Amino acid sequence: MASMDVEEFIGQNRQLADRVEAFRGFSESDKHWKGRREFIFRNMADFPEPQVDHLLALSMVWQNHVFMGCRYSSELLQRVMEMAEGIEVEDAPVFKTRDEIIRQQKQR
Amino acid sequence: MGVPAFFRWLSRKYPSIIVHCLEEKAKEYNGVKIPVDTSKPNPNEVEFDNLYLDMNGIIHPCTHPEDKPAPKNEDEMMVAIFEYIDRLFNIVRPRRVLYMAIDGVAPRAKMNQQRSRRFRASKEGVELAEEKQKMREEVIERGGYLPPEEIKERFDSNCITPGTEFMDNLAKCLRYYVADRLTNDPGWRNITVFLSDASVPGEGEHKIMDYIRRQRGQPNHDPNTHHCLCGADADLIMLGLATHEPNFTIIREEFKPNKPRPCALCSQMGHEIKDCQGLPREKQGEHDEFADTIPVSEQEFIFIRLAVLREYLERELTMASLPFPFSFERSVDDWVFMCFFVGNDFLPHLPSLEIREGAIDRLVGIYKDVVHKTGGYLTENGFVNLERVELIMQAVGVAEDNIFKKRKEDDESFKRRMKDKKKRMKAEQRPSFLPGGQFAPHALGGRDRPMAVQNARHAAFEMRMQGNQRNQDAAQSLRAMMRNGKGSAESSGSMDNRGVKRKADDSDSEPEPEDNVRLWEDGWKQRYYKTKFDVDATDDEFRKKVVQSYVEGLCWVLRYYYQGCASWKWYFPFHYAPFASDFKDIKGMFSDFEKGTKPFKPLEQLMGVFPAASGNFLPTTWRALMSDPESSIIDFYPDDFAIDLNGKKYAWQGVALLPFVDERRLRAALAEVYNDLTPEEVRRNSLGSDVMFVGRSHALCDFIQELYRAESHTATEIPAEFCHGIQGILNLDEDPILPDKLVESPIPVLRDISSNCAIGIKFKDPQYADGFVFKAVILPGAKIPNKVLKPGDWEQSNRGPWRPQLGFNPNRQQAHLDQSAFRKLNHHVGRSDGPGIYGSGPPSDAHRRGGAYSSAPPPTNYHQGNYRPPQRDHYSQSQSQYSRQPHMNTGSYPRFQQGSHGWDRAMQNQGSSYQQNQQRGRGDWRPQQNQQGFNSGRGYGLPPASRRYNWN
Repeated sequence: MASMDVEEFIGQNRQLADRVEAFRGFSESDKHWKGRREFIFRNMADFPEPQVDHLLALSMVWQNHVFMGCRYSSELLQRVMEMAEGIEVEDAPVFKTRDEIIRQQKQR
Repeated sequence: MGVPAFFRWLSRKYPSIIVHCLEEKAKEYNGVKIPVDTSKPNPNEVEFDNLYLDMNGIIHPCTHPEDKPAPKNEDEMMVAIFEYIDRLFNIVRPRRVLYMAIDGVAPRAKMNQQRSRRFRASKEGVELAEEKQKMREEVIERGGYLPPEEIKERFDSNCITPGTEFMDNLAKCLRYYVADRLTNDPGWRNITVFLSDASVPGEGEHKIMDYIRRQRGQPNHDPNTHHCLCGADADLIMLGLATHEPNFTIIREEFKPNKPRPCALCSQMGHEIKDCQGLPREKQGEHDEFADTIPVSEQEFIFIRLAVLREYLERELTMASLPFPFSFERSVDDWVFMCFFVGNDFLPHLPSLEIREGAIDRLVGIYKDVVHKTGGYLTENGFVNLERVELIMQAVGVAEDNIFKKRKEDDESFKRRMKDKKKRMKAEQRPSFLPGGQFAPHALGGRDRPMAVQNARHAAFEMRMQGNQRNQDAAQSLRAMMRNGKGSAESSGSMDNRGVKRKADDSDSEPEPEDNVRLWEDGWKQRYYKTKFDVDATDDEFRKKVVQSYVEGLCWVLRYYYQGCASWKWYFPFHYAPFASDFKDIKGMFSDFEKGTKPFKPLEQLMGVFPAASGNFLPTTWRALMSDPESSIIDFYPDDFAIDLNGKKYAWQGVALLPFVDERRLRAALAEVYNDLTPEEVRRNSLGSDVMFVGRSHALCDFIQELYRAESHTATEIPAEFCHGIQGILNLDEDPILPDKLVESPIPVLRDISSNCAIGIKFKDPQYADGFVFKAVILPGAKIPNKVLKPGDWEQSNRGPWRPQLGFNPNRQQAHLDQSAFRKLNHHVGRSDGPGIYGSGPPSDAHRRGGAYSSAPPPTNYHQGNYRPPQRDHYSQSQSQYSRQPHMNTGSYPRFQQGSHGWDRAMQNQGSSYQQNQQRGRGDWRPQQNQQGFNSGRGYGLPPASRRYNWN
């Protein structure tokens, strides 16, 4: 779905959209929340009510990975990236882990 | 605050606050150690009433020390902890209260820092184990010898967290320790011991403060109590000032730079793991009988006298012609508040305020200008007046651009000087061997606070220290060649390796930290918000959120220090701070915290601060939530995480970008696994109570014994007359320590206590109504100690000039003098050949994270100055700092000790004092000025070393 579809979807499902909006963290910027919101909408159908927290966890894995540079197991990341397929992120930041920093410093 | 630079700055600006501890050593007769009788008067010539121990500062060096091989097992760790407490007790000799506070569950605000440390510690631990294994294989291949590797689990310092079995065992061991000392040690006979173990929520130092605050709020509190608080955090200085108790002293270890550390592989001194050759250990003594002795001198302790700090602050903060009445006590509170902007454990510090750049002095200067307009003080009893704070912040904001540009210029200057110096050093003749570079591995679990250390100074001292190491390393290399002489090819290979290393070390290109923000260039605010928060600077709504959270944080931190924990739930939800200039319209940003918040249970906190690799401290099904992809909290536990250097040079100085814990989801996930706890785990997960212990001869003992006899389960208040006015609520302990009842030793090598004289009972601090406000005031009846500092008008009083002696040989060997030698020395106070002054503080170690401080290098040239014996009759009679002992002398007198540093540390304190005197008349003092030569334009004479004269 393109972002236009997401906006249209929100317009048609106000009640659902309001409920999803409640998942936004206080410290999430518009940009980060926009991506994670799309992640949640794309996958809500697969996570009935008792498993919503699991969906939220996976959406945070995606956000933490893309916007904060967190690394998770390849199994988990692969699944999350499949779930996020189609979400476009403009100007994603770049991160280095401690090992990468140290390796880079040694190479100079 | 967890900012090592803060203590460095404070002790250099206010040098007379430091007194070196005099410690009476145990004597030995015919191989039997005779313990020191601590019931005798204190050799430091001060009698303390209460000693408070921030225990986590003791547990870490006793479980994974940096300067000696680690204890082999948990029992040895416990014994080391006992011995450490004994040393402190010997020095301080409390006469009323010993309060031992272990960190319990911390407020949420602290957990982000705890997560960062524990995630890092876990990764570093794994790396160290891998490096040891790799080096071990290399050494064995080269024919070296290593002691057989003990098959033991690597000590994970993450177990020093509430809820673990280790902490539970420690609590049991300390109860035994207290019972033993109350039974057998005459110095403990009349004291009251409080043990607040890890099951009682709250950070150790804040549990201590809670106790003091609640005692102060009682009508029976003795306002002239002499407090002594043991801990290494600069926090404790703030907390001590916040009590407004006039007699408050801190005791802590004196930092010694460049202490030798044993190799992690073979436990020998003199080299690091990556230089290990597997050499046989040299015999210590004819029959290797000194093999287990530590070659370095034992850690020394210093006192920090807050009463003297208050004198300094009074001079600095006193303002005339204010439009409202001046109150020194209120201005101290404002000073404490401003220090939080520079560093604390709960909020990132503002980018424009670096302590090494004199940020606190800048703030004080701004404060004095602005306070005339604010209409009053910034804080009252730990509550913040935000409207007034905004004026301060805007004044800082005006200077921000210049601050960033100057920082860049200073950095460039340092780099140029270091580069030139390196060239000069390269031109000199050098030995063929050079020690390891800056990427040497660090021991697991060093004092793992992030360090704000300046790069250039580190580089300077690192190069200077290399010179000291060269001779030793050359000798080591020579011995290695001789011992491996039969394998000449191996020796040759080894030398080739050294050659390669030398080239790497000679490289002029230092790692340059990437800095996309470039605060010194126009547009810095836009780049900062883009790089750090991934938002445009035009996103005012977002910036307002950051500022609002920071404002809430300032209110939370100050209240934490003055009133206790205002919210167990609040935390700062960003990794970076806003700019001072962003603090606009903050008056309405905060009203109050949510009421009725509760601390996490211990095992819940473990889930909040531990990485998955430390899951072994948790039950199986809880642990699975940290790694199972199906877990509804899996996002809290990344396998690896990004580090943002944030303008720093080394990874350990950077910001760890870890996700924040979502408390609602955490509790929901745990609800599913709570039933899996065993009864033992349920107990460890429960919040406990403080415990109070007294000995048989204590007035309270019979009272408590009667409570047990009557099986009185109702809460009972302590009668004030039995316990120096100390109040609290007593409840029977389920498993009490009782007189004449056997106390089993939890440590096999220590004996059970068969004739126990101690009694223990649950204790609760006095309770106050919700909303009660503890006053930050000097209590009625309190006597302010006599002044210690030299009067400010000394120069106008015609009492003769001060003339410091320079050119002291820092490598001079000093002999150790005992009590009789001091008496003899005092007899010759008029001699003119007294010891000189070491002109600068100790250097820091670039490779160490725990406890390292940045430091200015000593001046390149010393002015010799002429020494003139002072005229004795110009000195005033001593004034006792401790009013309750008017005839006893206080302050330190010089001590001479043998050690790796020949300079006299007591005189170092005095020497810094002279520098302070010199600087006092020049307006705002900045640490950088110490890098210039010592200004001897106005001469000062060195007073005689006399116990009767108090150094200022």
